[in-house]
Formats: sequence, C-alpha cells, structure tokens
Amino acid sequence: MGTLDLERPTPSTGQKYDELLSMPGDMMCAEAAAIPRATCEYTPRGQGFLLGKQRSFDRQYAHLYFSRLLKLRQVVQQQVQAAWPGTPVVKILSVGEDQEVAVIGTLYKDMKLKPSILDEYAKQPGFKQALGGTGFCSDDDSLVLEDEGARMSMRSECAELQPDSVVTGVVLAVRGRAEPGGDFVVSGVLWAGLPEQPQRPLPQEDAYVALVSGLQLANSKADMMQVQLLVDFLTGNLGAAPQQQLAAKVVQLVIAGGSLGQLEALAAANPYSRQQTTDMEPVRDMDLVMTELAAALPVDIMPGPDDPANVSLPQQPLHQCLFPGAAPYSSFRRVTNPHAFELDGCLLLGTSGQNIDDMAKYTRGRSRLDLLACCLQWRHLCPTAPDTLTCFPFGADDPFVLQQCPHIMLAANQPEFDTRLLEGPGGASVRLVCVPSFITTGTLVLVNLRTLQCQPLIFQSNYTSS
Amino acid sequence: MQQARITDNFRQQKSFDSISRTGRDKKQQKAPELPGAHGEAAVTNYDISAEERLLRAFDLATQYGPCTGMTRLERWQRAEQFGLNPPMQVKELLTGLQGEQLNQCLWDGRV
Repeated sequence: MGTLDLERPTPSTGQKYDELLSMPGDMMCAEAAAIPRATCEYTPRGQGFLLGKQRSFDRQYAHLYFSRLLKLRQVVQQQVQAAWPGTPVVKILSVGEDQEVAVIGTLYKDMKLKPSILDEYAKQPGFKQALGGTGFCSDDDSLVLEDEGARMSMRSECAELQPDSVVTGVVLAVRGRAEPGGDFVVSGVLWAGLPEQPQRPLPQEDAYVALVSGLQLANSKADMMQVQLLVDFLTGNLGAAPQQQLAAKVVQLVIAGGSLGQLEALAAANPYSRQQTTDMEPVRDMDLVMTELAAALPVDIMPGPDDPANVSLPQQPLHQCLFPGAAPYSSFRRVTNPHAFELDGCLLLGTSGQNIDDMAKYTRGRSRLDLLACCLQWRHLCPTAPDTLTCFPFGADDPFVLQQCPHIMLAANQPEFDTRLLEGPGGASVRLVCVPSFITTGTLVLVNLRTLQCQPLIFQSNYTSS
Repeated sequence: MQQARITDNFRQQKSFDSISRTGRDKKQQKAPELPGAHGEAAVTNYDISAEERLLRAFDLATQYGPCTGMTRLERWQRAEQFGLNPPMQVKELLTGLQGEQLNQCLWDGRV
C-alpha cells in the first residue's frame, strides 16, 4: 500500500489550549463564540432498495439474472460497437466455428471449492468442509458464459479475463471464436464500464461527511470509552476550538452497519429468563449513543452483517422499536443497506461490506479497494448475489445495477482503511473508501465534500505501557 | 299413561363418523373440469384453445426471460419495460374477458 492521498489535519498553533487552560471568569467570551454547524441539502436516492410490504419469496433467481442481463446488455452493446466495429454480436446459440464473433452474456465461474448444497448428498465428504470460508479459489477454476438461451465454456487467451480476477454474475462481452472441441477461445473482453456521473456544484467551503462502521456494541470487547470519544468529537464536546471547528464542518454522519453486532448472550439464553433484560443492554446502549448523535447532527444508520435486520440484500432499515430515544429526532434516519443519497449534488453510495467480502472469496490477488473499483467497472454493486450472497428474488428489476456514477463510494466493515481516487471517462472522479471496523481500529473517516479527500481520525482509549 | 322417554325429545342421531360417504358423493362435489388454462383434461392438442396455444408460445419464448413464478401479464409488462416489443395480441388476451383464467403460466402448479 503506497502513500494514501489523505487530507492533513489543520496545523495547530502553539496557543491551542489557551481556552481550556484559561481562568474560569473568561468562560463568558468563550460562550459568545458559538460555532454553528454547516448544513447541506440531503436527498435520498436509494428508493430502489426499499422492499414493499408484499414480498414474495416464491420466485426463482433466474428472473434476477435475466433483468441484470437485459439492463446491462444495451450498455455493453454500445461499448462493443465502439471498440470492435467489424465484429458481429450474436447470441450463444448462433455462435459458429468459422468467424470471430462477439457475445454478450453473464459470467459464471465454476469453482470446485465453492460450497454447494449438493455436497450434503455426496457419498464422500470432500475437503471443502475442512477449508471453511477462507476462499473458494483454486487453480482449476473455469469460466462459463451464459445468456438467456444457452451457456458455453470459455478458454481465455486474454490477460484481462483470468479466472482469479473475476467473479460470477458480471455481464460482459467477449470476442473470439469457437473451437472445434466446443470451448470458446477469448481474445478480447469488454465490461460495462463506469456509468455517467452527474455534474455537481462545487461547494464554496469545506464540508465533511463522517463515515464509521462496526461499532459492535453487543460485543464484549467493545470499548465504551472509545465510542464515547467518537460521540464527543462529533457533538463538539472534545478538544479546543480547532477540533470543534472541524466537528462543526461535519454535515452528515453515516453509520455503515455493524452498530450492534451479534447478541450472543441473547441467542444462548432461555427466552423466559430474567437475564434477558440484562442481555438487552447493548440495544439500549446503542439507542443512547444514537440519541446523543442525533441531537447534534444528521445521522443515517445502515444495517450490517450481524445486525438485527434481514440477512438478504437489500437489507431493510433497522426497526424503529430498537431506537425509542433516537427515533423521534428528524435528523435520525434508518436506511437500507446498500444506501444512496445526495448531499448538495454530491452522490454517495455505500454498502456495509457484504458485497466486497463475498467478492474477496472469489478472487485472488485483488485488494478490497480493487474490488470496489471493479464494482464500478462492472457497473454492478454485488455481482455475486444471488450465487453466494443472499438476495431478495426480484422479479422485474435488478436494483443493484448502477445507473449513475457516485462521487463517493464506500464499503464498510473492512479489515483496514484504504482509499483511492478513481478517474473515469468523461471527467468522472470517484472517491473510493474502505471504512474499517471501529471496534478493531477506532477509525472515523471524514471525507471533504469540496476536495473529495479523506481524513481518517483514530480514537484510542487504552494506552499500554509498551 | 305411557312413560315419557328422553328419546322423545332428543332424537338419537348417528354420530358423524359413522355416516358413510360413498364415492358417488365425492365425485358430485367436484365440478367437471373443462380443458382450460392448463389443459389438464385435454386429450389431444385440439382440445386446447387457440388462445391458450398462443399464450403457451409466449411462455416458451426465451427472449422474454423465464416464465415460472410470475403471471403472464407481469411477464409481458416486464418484457415491454426492457424494450423487447412483446406481441400486443398477448396483452389483449390477458386483459380481456378471459384474462383471469389465462393469466397463469404453463408450468403453474406443475413445477
């Protein structure tokens, strides 16, 4: 990992602690200098992720794959006509052995280490179970292309289409010819590419959006002091004037999943035991934290992998009854995972990390940030859904296909902090952020809406004497 | 004077379980099934109506996507939404008078 283009904190002068160390009588002039918080216009953009009341789970996933292919096929076709003008685009059933053709379809990666439901019926238990969830890649993974009529296996002679770097569920165009043996030999590949990015008006002053994830308040290792430092910073109760001025520029906080985590004690306890009240303490702690934050700034809370929300994507907002204190605040918004919104024209798209975690099991040699960039290149937020990532069986739509290119894209609950500015065609630039889990790293990420630069802040509360 | 018996006021009735139910009763309860939407009672291809044949062809056309798990009208609307130009005749049949009977796809109840 090279040097990240981070925003440096404002340099401190020698007199920064003067207000804190001044005589009590001088508090009058300190109160007069109240710092107002900056505001931005918030527009939600994630309506496609909200499921209605009538949710039918009877449908099979073939419809989702069909919708995905149809939505992305037009885009890929335009790319093919631009890049390979002479090559005809055909369906898989019409691929002949005589000429070079281009085919558009959905990629399927055949991996023998991928856990399959049929293994339960196999006579000999394979070593798949021994491997666990470390990854499904092996050296003899093969690629198959599918469209609505047929499927064909591919052999790639193109460096961009190697089994280790792609995942199942991506819509792409391949150019090549069919071999007499039956394989399709690929000589070129085209992805859907970045969608169009809407123009945004540049803000005049600095405004920050704060991103945090993985508070894990139900975990016994959660450090409440660390969480309290975070809350104090965001509410402006931490530090002297420079820190308060920085906190005043934060216009929105996004808690990207993992705020509660798994309530292990509750899972094990007897439902009728009196211990249940104490086991529910983490939920009340979470509500207290959210109430303090919501009273100070707008908060969007997303559900995460272990939170008490539905497990299939798109995860629906956490229920109002979990937040009796925070729910009455209009600044407190319970949102879906994935979540999309606009702040003064700056489009933000984020997930709680399940899509990136799942894609990491399919690939080798790609960092988490690379996978996030690939989501943009492939124009799909979670291509591995519904293969290994649970997903709602949509009938007529695939809401994970990206229609517009966001200005800031984030994946939360990642092992470490990473960021990059991705430049795309047509002057598009996207800030990609991997937000680490707060319980392990104590990091809060501030993204400057004016310059699209990141400033990570690390809160530490225990200092070992090493 | 004849002694009044309780059975004069409360007539003895056989219990429900002992009432015999012949096969004849069961057959009369089921309505006779005409070769309808799924052609279950159809013997030859001739018994399936022309409309049903047209709609089955629409079901099996792969360019409009999979047909199971959704009604034919939903599938038609999805095909139109994606710009696949599905035939208007199919929509007219599905929104017509017999629309309710013809709305379920070929595999409904079978797969």
